[in-house]
Amino acid sequence: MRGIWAVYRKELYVLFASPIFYVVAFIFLVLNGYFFYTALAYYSMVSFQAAQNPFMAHQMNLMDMVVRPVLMDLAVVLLLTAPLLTMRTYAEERRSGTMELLFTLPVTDKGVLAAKFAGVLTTLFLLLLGTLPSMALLGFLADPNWKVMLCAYAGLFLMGAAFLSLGMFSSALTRNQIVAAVISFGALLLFWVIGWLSSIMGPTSVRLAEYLSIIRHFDNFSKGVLDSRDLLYYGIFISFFLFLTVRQIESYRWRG
Amino acid sequence: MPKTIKSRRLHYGSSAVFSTLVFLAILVLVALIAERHPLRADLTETGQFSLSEQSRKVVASIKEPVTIKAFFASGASDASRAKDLLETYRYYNKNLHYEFIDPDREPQLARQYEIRDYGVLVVEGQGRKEIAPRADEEALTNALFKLSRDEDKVIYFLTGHGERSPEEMHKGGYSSAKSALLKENFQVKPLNLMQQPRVPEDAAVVIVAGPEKTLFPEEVASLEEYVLRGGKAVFFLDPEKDGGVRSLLEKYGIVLGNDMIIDKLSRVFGGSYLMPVVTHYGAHKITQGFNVATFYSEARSVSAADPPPNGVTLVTLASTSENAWAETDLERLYRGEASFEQGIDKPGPVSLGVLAAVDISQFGGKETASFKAEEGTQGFDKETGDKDPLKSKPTLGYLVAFGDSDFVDNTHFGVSGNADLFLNMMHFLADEETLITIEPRKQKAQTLMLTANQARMVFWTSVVAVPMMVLLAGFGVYRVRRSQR
Repeated sequence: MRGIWAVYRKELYVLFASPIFYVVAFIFLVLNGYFFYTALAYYSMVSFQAAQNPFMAHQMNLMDMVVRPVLMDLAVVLLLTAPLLTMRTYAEERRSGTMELLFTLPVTDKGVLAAKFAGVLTTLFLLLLGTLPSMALLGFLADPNWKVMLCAYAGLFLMGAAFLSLGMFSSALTRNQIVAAVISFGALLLFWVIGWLSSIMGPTSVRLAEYLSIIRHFDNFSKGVLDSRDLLYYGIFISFFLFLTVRQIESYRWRG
Repeated sequence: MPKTIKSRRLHYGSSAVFSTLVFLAILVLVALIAERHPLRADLTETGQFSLSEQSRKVVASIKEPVTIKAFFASGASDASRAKDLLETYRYYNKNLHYEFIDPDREPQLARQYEIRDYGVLVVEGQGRKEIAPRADEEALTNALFKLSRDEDKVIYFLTGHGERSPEEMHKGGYSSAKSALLKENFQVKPLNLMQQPRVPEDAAVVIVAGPEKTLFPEEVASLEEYVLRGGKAVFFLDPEKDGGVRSLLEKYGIVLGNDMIIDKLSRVFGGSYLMPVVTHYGAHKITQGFNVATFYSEARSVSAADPPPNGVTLVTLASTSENAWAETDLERLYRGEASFEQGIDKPGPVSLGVLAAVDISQFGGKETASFKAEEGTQGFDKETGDKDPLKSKPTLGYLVAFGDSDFVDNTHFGVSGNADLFLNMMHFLADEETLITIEPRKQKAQTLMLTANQARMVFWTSVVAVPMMVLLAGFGVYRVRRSQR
């Protein structure tokens, strides 16, 4: 356990010492700010129109028209940024030859993986934390539904964790960080768009494709519906790719 | 490569592949089990993504696969709302499937389902189809309920006085109307009131289509009795042939004119002066959103009494343009000399279709009891007792009169909007429009108007301040690390 803690601290140190995190976080937060500002400005403009139209006023919902679209946009940004957070995890260790060092540490492969995953989850957590001032501002100006907000954030975090697990697996596949980032981005994009196939496929494969679609499960979270199936989907997704990563790391030992 | 290493790699490699497959199989199994037993919590304040008790019962009763085709323009903003709704229904019953169809991209499907508007849901299953005109809970639950209802509604056509017959295929017959009704899940039966004293209990609508001879007073009495127990009687009465129901209609505020409508506008469409064109429709569910012309060959005026009798609500369903008038001097008309005479003829717009909603508690009180009993059996759930939504509805009987019977005969059924008007009418009368009323979830009206200062604050905080702090932190780390070197 102490070994895991040590690896976790070292991971965090490497992550926060490199400029990658700050650049990624800066871009992420600027985009978040932009989405939030435009969504809110639009909502405010529509509110003016709704003030004259009672029927329209009933349709106005802060969660549906501001929070959900903003978080949806953030999910897209996360799709682009998550590979950048994970690309170095294993690829860098292999390139610089510190992989052998990890093997000789009194920590199991799973332990190292857990520490590394916890490290990137921490960065994800910090990214999402950076979006909270906007939401707090919204709470100051209006009265959003905090339960739904929490649910949507939980979904975004889970989906981000799923992105990261796949990113770590692709980082374990190669020594080159860029290749790792491109592989994980491509794979994530595939999981993202697989649902689009539904219009051209038969009924059984549609259901499979819809199930695999990574964004579809987030959709429920974002509207304030906590569904056991969506929770489990992300759980399965994460554990499958972490499992593959462990297998891949183990293979270095016997492949020589 | 040494042999031992090779066999070792094979050994480890195959075991790694095997363990991965086993792990994957376990995950798939877990996912499948979880799919079968979903649990969900709706965290929204109004329960936006949950169904009402009534809907849940209807949805739970569906045992066979049902497909819902949602016709939306791709990317429309209300499409995502509809998707949320359909997803909610699917959560409650796995037999429901839905697909979205863009009527612009797949016009052949839209034509096949006769879709003329965006936002329509077609519910298909058990060899039948029903249409939900809007994508909301009330419309969809009603459509599902109608779909699962075993017996079809029966529409009776009165016979015995030379009426138009739904069996006749010649140009004056009603066989086209009949086949359209069958397609919409109605049954069509003849009704002879000379042989039976009462209109049957299962009658959803009784149509009296262009009687040549007058009805016997007993028949008129049974029709009235039928309306007063919540029935719906429709009269299509050609000029000069009122079938002996004039006094019945007048009692409920529908006035038949002794005239014939002459419409100059219809020449534009290549018709004769005697084929008035209707482009004005009343404000009623039957004619809601109706914007196509309907044509009537040789029609009389039918107007609403002003003021209406107590307990009756009158709606003028159809009227001509201002260019038409109702000619009272039929002798002159037949000589071909008709012209509008101020003060004698009725000036346009001339109404030729009137609906009377009769509050039966104000007319025949004793009839209501038997009607309510009958209604109870139609209700979708007897157990809910007084919660049954049907019982709380006001009990109305309907009388509809049009001044023409050939507007839906085989010659004219397909003309412009004639068929649609007729089918809308039948749908409204037979299905009582909604079987189940569900109050739309009242969302808290939340408007947010930013002042210029607030907008500036939002901009500076979210777009500038927070990202700047990150940049500063990064810069600080960079400086510290440089100084450590």
